[in-house]
Amino acid sequence: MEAAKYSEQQPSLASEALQPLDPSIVKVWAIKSMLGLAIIIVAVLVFELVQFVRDSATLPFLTTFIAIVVVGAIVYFIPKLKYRFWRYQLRDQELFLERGIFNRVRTIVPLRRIQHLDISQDIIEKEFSLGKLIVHTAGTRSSDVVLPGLHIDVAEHLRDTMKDYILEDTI
Amino acid sequence: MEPTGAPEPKKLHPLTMVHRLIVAVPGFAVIMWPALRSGDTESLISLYIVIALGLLGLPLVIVQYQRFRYWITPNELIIHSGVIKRQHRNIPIERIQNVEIVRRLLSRAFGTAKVNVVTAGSTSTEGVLEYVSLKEAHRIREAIRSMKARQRAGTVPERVDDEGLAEPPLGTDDQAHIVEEETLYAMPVSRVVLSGVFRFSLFYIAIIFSTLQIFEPDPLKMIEYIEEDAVTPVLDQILSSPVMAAISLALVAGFISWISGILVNTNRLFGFKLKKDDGRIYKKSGLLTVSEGTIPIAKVQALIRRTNPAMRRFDWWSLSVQTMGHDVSEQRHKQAVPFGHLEDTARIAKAISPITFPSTYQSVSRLTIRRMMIRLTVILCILVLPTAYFWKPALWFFLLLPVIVVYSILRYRNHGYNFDGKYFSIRRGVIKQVEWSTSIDKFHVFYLQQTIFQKRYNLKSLYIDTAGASPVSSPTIVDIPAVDAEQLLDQLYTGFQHHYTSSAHDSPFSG
Repeated sequence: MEAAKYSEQQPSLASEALQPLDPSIVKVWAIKSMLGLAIIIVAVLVFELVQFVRDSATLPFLTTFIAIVVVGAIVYFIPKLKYRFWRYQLRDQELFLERGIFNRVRTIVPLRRIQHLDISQDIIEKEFSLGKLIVHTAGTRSSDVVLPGLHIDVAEHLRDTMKDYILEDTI
Repeated sequence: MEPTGAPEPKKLHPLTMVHRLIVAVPGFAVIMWPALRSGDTESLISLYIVIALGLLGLPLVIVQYQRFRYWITPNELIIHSGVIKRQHRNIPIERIQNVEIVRRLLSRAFGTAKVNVVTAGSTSTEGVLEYVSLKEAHRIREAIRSMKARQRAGTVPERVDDEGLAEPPLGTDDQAHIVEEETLYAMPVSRVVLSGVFRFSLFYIAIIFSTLQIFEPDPLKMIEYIEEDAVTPVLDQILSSPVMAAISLALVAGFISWISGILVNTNRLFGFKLKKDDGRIYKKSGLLTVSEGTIPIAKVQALIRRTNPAMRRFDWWSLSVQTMGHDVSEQRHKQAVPFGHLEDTARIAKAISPITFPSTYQSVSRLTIRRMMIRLTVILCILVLPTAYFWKPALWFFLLLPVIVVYSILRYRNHGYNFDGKYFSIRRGVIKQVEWSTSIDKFHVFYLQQTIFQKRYNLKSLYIDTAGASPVSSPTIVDIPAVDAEQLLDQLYTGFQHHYTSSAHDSPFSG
């Protein structure tokens, strides 16, 4: 009965009320994963170059080609999927997050548990005027809950709204 | 510059200097080792280095001692130290969480003690007084404690100004406090030794074997030396079969590890005593190194009760508390009862916290057995099959399959959760059985998750984060049917909100 009352008060569990991230985060993620995975391509390429110089390769640069295709697929699809599954919503009492492609995680951060809030922005995110909202709590696993891919203005707005909930002593 | 209005600065115990020098001896020995071993001229250089270090080090120890000073004012603990790089450290009294008194063998011989002042912040803001006399150590603890009590009562002025401040009770013996202490739990020697018997750890094997590596003794020669010819025939028999050799080696290693585990455990827990004294749980234990510390009751986040099948058979349990604190090196799960019967743990749990352990737990989905079996079998295949390609006998490892089945079933049986509207408890573990219990007002962040494998069975896992929870063995309920999991999350979260909205008047969170 308690649960029913709760869902009446908070009709926001329906997914349409949840907000997606800023679409440009897909590009940011793509660039970041490309930078990370480029190392693999370079490594494979160097290996094959050595083979090629030694003249021992049967099909020159086949592996490099495969590596490029695989990495390309990862860079193209994963950020899109990630984006599709990311949802968040700031409610009266809590920050609600939902994310994950293979491991679906739903997180509820009660606003009264917030220790402090950070906004971070790296070079790539800055290019797209995006920012991350980092919510620090006293918990261990969630000592920082990260909400990425927000337009910097949205992130700042969220922070300013949530800031009022920071209590003197949360524990 | 000295803080104004503060009492006289204090110095460390003079024997600290002697202590420092003695502690430095092993270091010198290491440097001198080559010179001592081979007497040639080149290695004599290290001898000169030692002499130079000694000439430099001795005055340094004295100057260090001279420079080290500390004060306890009603608002803070002030420590001035450092020779080349001077350091002034002010620790606000209200931030101090715990004052630990540690006495190693040497400092016990000298009648000194090391005082660790632990704060709620990071490790770097800790204050260490190494070494003061034992009496002084106890006085410091009492002074800090009574100052904290006064601060809570609001009888201390905000700032230390001029001379308007009364002398802190540093010199006075606060006997009244000590009288109120009541012993909650004490362990006789027999129980300490027994607790070591149940504590089997392979960790000590590693230590023993790595020390043996340094000295490289030949065990066969040693045995020959001791036993003449009595053992040799047996040894020959054993060594003739590789399987026998392996088994006997494992047995010997296990036995050594077991014995050393008992010794280490006895050293740690000897004379264990748990006392209660207004709002604090105070504990003391140790044979060679005596350590004293407190468990702040107000900071207790959860209670943890552990056992294992062997201990359980004889009704032996241990009880720890999970306290808030960001200091990772310090054991956050502090043992309140290292080893005791169920009734002991229940009694002490009651003295520490209102949190209780339920008598029954609700099971998770039976499908968890299948999931665990599949997972372990896949892991076994991945390990065994490639090995078997090169080494056929590896296939024998598939005999472990029944073990996997039994393990998975036991894991299901021992896993459960309970929520009675106020206290939330989780039980898990096959060999190491852990019960973890917390109350609704200690919840922090709520997680509900479903991996791609759980999705096939429509299962979910629930995790409620608390302050100071161990990141390694976090209390997660794994594999609850999805519908139940959602419902449980709703219940827990509604309960959590309800707790704060209904008690808004008297809680500090109203605002």
